[in-house]
Amino acid sequence: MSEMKLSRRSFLKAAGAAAAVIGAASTAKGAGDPKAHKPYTDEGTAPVPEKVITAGCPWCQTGCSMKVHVQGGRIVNIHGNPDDPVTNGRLCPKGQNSVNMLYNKYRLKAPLKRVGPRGKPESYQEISWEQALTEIAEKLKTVKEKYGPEAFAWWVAGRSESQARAGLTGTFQKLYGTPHREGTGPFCNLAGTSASNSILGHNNPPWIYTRDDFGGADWYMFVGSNMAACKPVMFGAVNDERVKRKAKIIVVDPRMTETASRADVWLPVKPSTDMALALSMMHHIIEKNLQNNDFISRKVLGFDKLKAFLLEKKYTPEWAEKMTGIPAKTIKELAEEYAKTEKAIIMGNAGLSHHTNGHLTHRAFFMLAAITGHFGKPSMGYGCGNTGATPMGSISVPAEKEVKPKKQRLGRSPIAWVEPMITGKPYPIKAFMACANPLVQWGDIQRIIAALDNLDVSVYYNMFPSIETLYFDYVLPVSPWAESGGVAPVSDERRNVFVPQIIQPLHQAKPERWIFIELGKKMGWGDIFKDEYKDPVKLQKAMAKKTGFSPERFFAKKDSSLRGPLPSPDAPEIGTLYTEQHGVPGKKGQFPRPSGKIEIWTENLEKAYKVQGLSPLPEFYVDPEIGMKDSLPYLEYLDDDSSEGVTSQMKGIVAVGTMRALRVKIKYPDKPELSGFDMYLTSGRPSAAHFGDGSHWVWNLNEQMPDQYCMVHPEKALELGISNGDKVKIEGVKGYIYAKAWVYEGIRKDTIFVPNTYSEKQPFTQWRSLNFIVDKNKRCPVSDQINYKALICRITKA
Amino acid sequence: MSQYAIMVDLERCIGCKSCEASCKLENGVPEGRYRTKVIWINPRNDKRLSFMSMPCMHCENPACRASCPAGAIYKRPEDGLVLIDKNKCIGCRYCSWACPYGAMGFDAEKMVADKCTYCAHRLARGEQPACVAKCPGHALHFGRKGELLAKASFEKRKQRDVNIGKAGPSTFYLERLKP
Repeated sequence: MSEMKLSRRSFLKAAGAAAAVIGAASTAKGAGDPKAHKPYTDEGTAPVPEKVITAGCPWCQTGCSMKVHVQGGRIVNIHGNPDDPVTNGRLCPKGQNSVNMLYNKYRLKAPLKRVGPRGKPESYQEISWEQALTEIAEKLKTVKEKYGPEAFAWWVAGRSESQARAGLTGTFQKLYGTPHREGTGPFCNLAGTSASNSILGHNNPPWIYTRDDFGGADWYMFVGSNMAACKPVMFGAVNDERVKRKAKIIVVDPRMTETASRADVWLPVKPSTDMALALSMMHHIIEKNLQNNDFISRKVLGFDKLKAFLLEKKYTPEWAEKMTGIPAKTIKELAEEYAKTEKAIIMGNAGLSHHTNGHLTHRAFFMLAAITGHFGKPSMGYGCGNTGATPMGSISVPAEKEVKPKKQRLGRSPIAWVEPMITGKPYPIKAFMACANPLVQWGDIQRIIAALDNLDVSVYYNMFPSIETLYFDYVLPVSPWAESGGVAPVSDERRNVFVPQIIQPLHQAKPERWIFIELGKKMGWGDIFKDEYKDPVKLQKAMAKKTGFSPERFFAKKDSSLRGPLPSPDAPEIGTLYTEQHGVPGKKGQFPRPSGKIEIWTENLEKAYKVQGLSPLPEFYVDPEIGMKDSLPYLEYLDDDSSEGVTSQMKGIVAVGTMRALRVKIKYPDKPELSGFDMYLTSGRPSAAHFGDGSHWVWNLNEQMPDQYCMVHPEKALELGISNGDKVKIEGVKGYIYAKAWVYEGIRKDTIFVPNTYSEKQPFTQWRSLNFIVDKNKRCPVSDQINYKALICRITKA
Repeated sequence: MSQYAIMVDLERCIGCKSCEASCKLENGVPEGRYRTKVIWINPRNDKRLSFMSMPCMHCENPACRASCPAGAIYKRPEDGLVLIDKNKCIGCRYCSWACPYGAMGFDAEKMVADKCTYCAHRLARGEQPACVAKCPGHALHFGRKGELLAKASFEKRKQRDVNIGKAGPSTFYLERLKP
């Protein structure tokens, strides 16, 4: 086995490492046609590879460095990278199955144009790239002339390579002049990101996933975080350490997840009420005088306000027991253990973010960590997963060419674009480009399909013929990952791993980088979208500029990874954030809020939240359907997506430029307002095999969890005459879906769990997506995140 | 002979099925067929959810070998691997019936028995079985059985009794720390 090392020397010598790799690949006979290659030896085993190339994983936010095995111009296997200090060479099912993601008969093979009615495969005709991009550019120009640049919206999503996704689309946006470009954050963990920005002054969690930082705590509480399924490699290491060192794990989740199965304590919380747990833990800590007064006096602003607020509201453990279903005694024990354990970590994730109270719930947990002094050292703190990247540079746009939007951006979430597409209010959106899966991932799918009908042009680019390819006007086939090269999606501990171009694009697919450069040229911006940037190494060099993300630095490391922030070319990589020594590199202060301290409450924060009818102090409310069913406080919306709303004052927290925000009021119902639904519905990742729609197209992943399932408690199943494997109908307020029953003792008796990411147009199994019953208008007023995870429903045997 | 074994730690396994996926990639195992499989054991009577990764047990007295009318299954003297001579296999599937662990599969394309070899081709190169090498949970360990048992006793771990009849499985399981 000869190891192909992309050292700095070979990079300089070969005038671009990518060129060297492509050269090697294209010498193989029949490169590009997967059938021309034999991935296995005559004995049926994976061959000893000619080359082993280091690359980042394209799937989740673990950001694993991988060893890609290449034989005869074909990728034959993928292993973990033993030189990666985070993964220790381990790999989950998804990373290694990038092989079957590339060599996949379902791939989109050529550009398509819709020439008939939506919803029918026969409405689509193959066209050339030249025709597709020329027509798209002309239509984008016309939309700009007719409606202004703000009428173009672009969902760049989150899983494609970062140079094109985060870099080039930003350049395109500046030249076009639209405020509407967004990643996947508003469907992921923007609630956690914005909460972190609002209180610590930076988006990322304090820790990194090495054994001496995240792995080194004595006490963990996972709240709404199924880390074992969502970040298996990281959780595997934590769990390994737990067994060795007898660390304690507590999991707060309505169902016994894979993560909860490893825990010492599982607390089946009622969906939507996690905020009450944080509030009551703080209440108990303050009552027992267990807060860290020294830390508070030096590093925290607004403690007295918080204390008065908690006492006034009487957010006691006894109150929280009624909200959450977790016994008051347990809450008190947890609070005391946490306050007394120095190396204690609380981790939140999408289980907290996918709610109308997501932002404030995360804020409450940040406050809990702050008043107990759990910031500033490794192996402690509160953080939310998947909270975004650190700046990696971009292609410069000369000031005279940049077009500044004149109208305020319509909300933070792309879901806020849907109504303006239909109603034309407060102003119309007429052009829409998207990758990922709006018709699987966004809520209220019927309405999005209706919106597509009102557009002048819609463009979808992806790998697979997912449901979107039956509804958008243009469909473009994308070459992902090793066919494209670039930078793999960032991990939530700020790691970026470089991916060299390892094989040629298959079929007629093209890398996003190529697509955006060609489209940019057709828009008349050829002086900025240069052809040389089609080479990922040259583009990286041009983008990195004054940051430390140069190709040379990537290649100098055995795992090709760089951890941000790297504000200068020789800035060192930093591990734990918010320490006295480092704070956040490139930002001022240990906690880069304006005060340099942790801001629980300040006058400025109070003003910013008040504009929307909220306070920085987390007043308890639940998601609307839960509130209406159980007469608990919930949000009433005073504005909708077609209204002018107010201008967000959340600069540096969640607002991008001048941005519209919606006003709300907490309503305290005195009696139940909704009846006929006896169960709560929560959702999440199906298993470690899945990530979005994409994994459902990969046989080796899909077969691990092929069906949309419904976890239901045996008592409820017995009452309804439902057995394991039965098809059940689940009716919510907005609509219905079907799923396969999984009779499961590890779930609350009043709750069912149905996983997300399934759709009616997937190759192996077809299920009406969960998001048909999600209400897109019920969103967190700060993060703009949809409530996916606390709905009400009834189930019957189908 | 010094027997090779895989030690499966039921406390460390996180149920991610990376072993299934890596086995398939390494050994060209197609959809619907398995050489190793993870089963989820649902929580019941206050016991927690558990997972069990199930490769071949490479038994001391392999029932598959005893059942084979063609003499196609043998136990390799130097390391105790139970392997199939596919040239001798007549595809009768007696071994699938005989194996008490359900570890013997069948390759319907080539009409021969098919099962986990502990990645014998990788062992020959000084590498670990693919499932062990990639395991995110650090739950699978490979080595000489004596060394693995020493590792387990260092952590004061109990073994789960999975012996059936006279099989004497080499793959072994460490019990969970508490139910």
